Amino acid sequence: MLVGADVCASEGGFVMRNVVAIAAVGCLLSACGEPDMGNFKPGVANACQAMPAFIGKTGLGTQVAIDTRQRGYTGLRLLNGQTGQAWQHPTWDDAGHVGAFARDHEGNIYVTPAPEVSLAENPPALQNRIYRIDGATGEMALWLELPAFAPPSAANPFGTMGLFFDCDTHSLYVSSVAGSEPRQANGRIYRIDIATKKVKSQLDSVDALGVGVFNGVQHKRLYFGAARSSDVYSVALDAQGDFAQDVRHEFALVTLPDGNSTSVRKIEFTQNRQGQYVMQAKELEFGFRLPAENNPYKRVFRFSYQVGDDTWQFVGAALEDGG
Amino acid sequence: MQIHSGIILCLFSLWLGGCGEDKPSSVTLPTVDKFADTSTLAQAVPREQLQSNIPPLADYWQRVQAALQADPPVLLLNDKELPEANAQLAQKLAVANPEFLKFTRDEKTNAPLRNEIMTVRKALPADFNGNAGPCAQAECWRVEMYDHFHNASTIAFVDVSKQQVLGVSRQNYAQPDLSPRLVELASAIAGAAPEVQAILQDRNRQPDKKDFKTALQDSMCERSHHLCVAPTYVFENDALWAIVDLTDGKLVGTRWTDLGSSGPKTVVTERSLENETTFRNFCEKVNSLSQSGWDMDYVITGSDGLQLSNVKFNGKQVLKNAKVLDWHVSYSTREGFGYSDAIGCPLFSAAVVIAYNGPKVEPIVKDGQEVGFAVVQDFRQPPWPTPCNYRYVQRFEFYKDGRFRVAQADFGRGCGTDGTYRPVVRIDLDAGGASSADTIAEWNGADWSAWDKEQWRLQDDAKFTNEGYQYRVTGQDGAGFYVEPGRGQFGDGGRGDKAFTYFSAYKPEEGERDTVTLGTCCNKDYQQGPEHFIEPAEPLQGKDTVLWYVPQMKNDGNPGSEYCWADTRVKDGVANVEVWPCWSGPMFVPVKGAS
Repeated sequence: MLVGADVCASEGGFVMRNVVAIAAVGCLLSACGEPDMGNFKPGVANACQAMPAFIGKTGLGTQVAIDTRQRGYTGLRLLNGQTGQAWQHPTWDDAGHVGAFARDHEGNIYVTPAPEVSLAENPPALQNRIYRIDGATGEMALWLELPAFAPPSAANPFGTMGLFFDCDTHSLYVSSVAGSEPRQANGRIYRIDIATKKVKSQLDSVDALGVGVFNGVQHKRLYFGAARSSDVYSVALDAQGDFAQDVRHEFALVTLPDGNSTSVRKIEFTQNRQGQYVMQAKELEFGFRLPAENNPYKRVFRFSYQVGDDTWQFVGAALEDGG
Repeated sequence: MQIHSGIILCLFSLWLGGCGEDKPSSVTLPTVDKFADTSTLAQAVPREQLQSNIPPLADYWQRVQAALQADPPVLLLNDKELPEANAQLAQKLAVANPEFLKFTRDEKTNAPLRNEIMTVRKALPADFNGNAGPCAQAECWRVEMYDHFHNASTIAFVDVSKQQVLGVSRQNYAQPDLSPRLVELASAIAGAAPEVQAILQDRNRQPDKKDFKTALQDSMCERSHHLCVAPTYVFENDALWAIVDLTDGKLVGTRWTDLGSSGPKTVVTERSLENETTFRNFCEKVNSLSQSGWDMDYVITGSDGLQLSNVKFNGKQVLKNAKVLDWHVSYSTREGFGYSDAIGCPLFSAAVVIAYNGPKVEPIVKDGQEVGFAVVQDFRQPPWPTPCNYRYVQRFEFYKDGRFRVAQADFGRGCGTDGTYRPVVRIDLDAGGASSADTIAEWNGADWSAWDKEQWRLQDDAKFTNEGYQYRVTGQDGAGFYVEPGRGQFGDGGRGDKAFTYFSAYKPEEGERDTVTLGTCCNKDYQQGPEHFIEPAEPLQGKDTVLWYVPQMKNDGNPGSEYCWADTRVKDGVANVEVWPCWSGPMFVPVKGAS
């Protein structure tokens, strides 16, 4: 862009009508530089998530939750909170310990591996992946191996971290910290088109954990929790869901009243009974080492959406386990 | 032609500028802090010395002790700190209210807890979130008390005209607004710290370090759950943060931050100081130590704990390296349940139980005489001692007479009282000097019997010399060490190692490098991981050998017989973790008469 401007300036001597014509064409073409930010209905962007059909065949009923606490089992399982009955497909421990998951509009579940306590079941080489549980059969299989700046290693055994499915663009957003080093953030956030399984857009040099999309009054934004601090940022998304240049700092857990210096590992958006949009940010002490999940003090921080200025206002924090 | 070319070039450039960047791929974020390398942890100073150096701290401590003896055990704001009569009355009414005092004593023992009135002020509309309730009709005062034991605040709203407490609320994990007394104390502690004084009194300051202002920033001590705050020294372009622990009355550490306008504000806390400093000083570089005839290198590894290497006594190498690869923890009442814990660096590692600081060197004193020194490294899971969290300590002892011991302990608390701990310790002895062949012999009850091939032995099945030796490891010159397993004789509370020992022929690929995990958590037999290096058994004759040592300690949480255990108790009104470590590890005793 700067090169073009310099060349134009050097051609200042030609006739006025040519200048006008060029300016007109230039302005027309320059309009291409303003990305189409779409016109999305403000609100939650993953409301289309469907109930997987296979759940009906498990005999657990429909009041089930996907349980990734992994106490006494590896991977994920379905849990009926009322009866305590659990169900696990034989393939659901194939990825070792797992972290984030997201459902799409057809009931397929996307899952990231996440080492916990030991690397025995989560070898670093297999961590920059996304697995997919077929909504119809319940079978889990490797869905996508993501490209990385450098592969995970014992010094940074993490790969894919956060997941979010956007119903408007059928995009799966995934953060990865694969290949990041102590003094160099080499992580990425990817937008994957689930129909083609192709990475359509990526944000480089970003170490992020939790990710979540919300349709604000201005446009769609992806919110992400920084892996190296308690900061939460957002980046504007265009009509296709690709990353735009507008990145802004939203808040930091550490500067909230009774906040914490932890990172945000999960971001969820909901609408409460009063119609107000709420962001829930779940914390994790993350240091690119194996996490201590047996932490009774883990909290969830709640924010409410301020339509007037497209910001999130801190409401309060509570223990994640409800204690 | 020239104009025509220019038009085309302009159009092309505009097209490039307008359309070519519709899929930006990179946005710059402040991911790495240029001041991260400036973090330091304060040197430990005895409390008495701190109080002697800082009169306001001594005065405050006296008032704390007096409050602990008072009924109720609450440190009040005095008339000077709270000159207004109604404010004094509000404080008096609050500390007479049973609900306000509910958590001022330990629930089980009734021991007084350390409680302190922080602020007494008129209630503000912002205090009520829109609903002032009874305070809407009265002159309400807000009284806030901080509870150091629970790291919580209790707030009372008091109507002084009716002499009534209108409501009481409690906020856990809440840091209060500080009283002026504590604000001044924090500044005094920071200003008296040698680490801060060295910077402020530097006569060769850079131009932008000539003048500074002081400020008080919020901070936190996430790991100790103490009341912490950060006096800061603000210079032209940057600021020096001093994290002060007001519960303990000490400086935690210091760090510089940028005052630049770009990016979010950096907040320095106990956790960030500990992680950054430990990683930079002890994980990213190998340190050396020379003391009492001993020389060694040491580093905190990614997942094998503190590793000592190239250990020499009087110039002769006796130990190539020693470390703990894993801590296996199993629970007898839950088949297959347990953990294989790796210990190591707090950042960028495969460890789950981490170092908060580097190793400490402490003297070993026996009968009033200093007979050697110990290198001690602590590893904790951050929520320890809450259930299912662990703390492990490595302790390498070096004696002036050439003996040394590779010891380690669990400090609880784990997931229950049916736990057994099995650390997997790798000891690469250089009995006859660096990388030379070793001869392994086992005491058979009458004589030393040589081992000609790799094998393992359970301590319960072993015989010992009168001195308690099980093995003798010697080099070609006859020099070397007897191996004396722990049988409760070392005076550290250890109840015996019941160890599996394995001797394998040295191979660099067998555990010498940082090993992510070795073996599984829950095997009860010799299959703890090192068996992979002795099966099938290879000859040992003429080989450099490695000793693998896997002690077994059963924990106990019963009062009076605690072992591998930890519990939170009240001490001086604050939370104090009492530990009952289970030490294990063999002593290596030089073979007499060796050259």
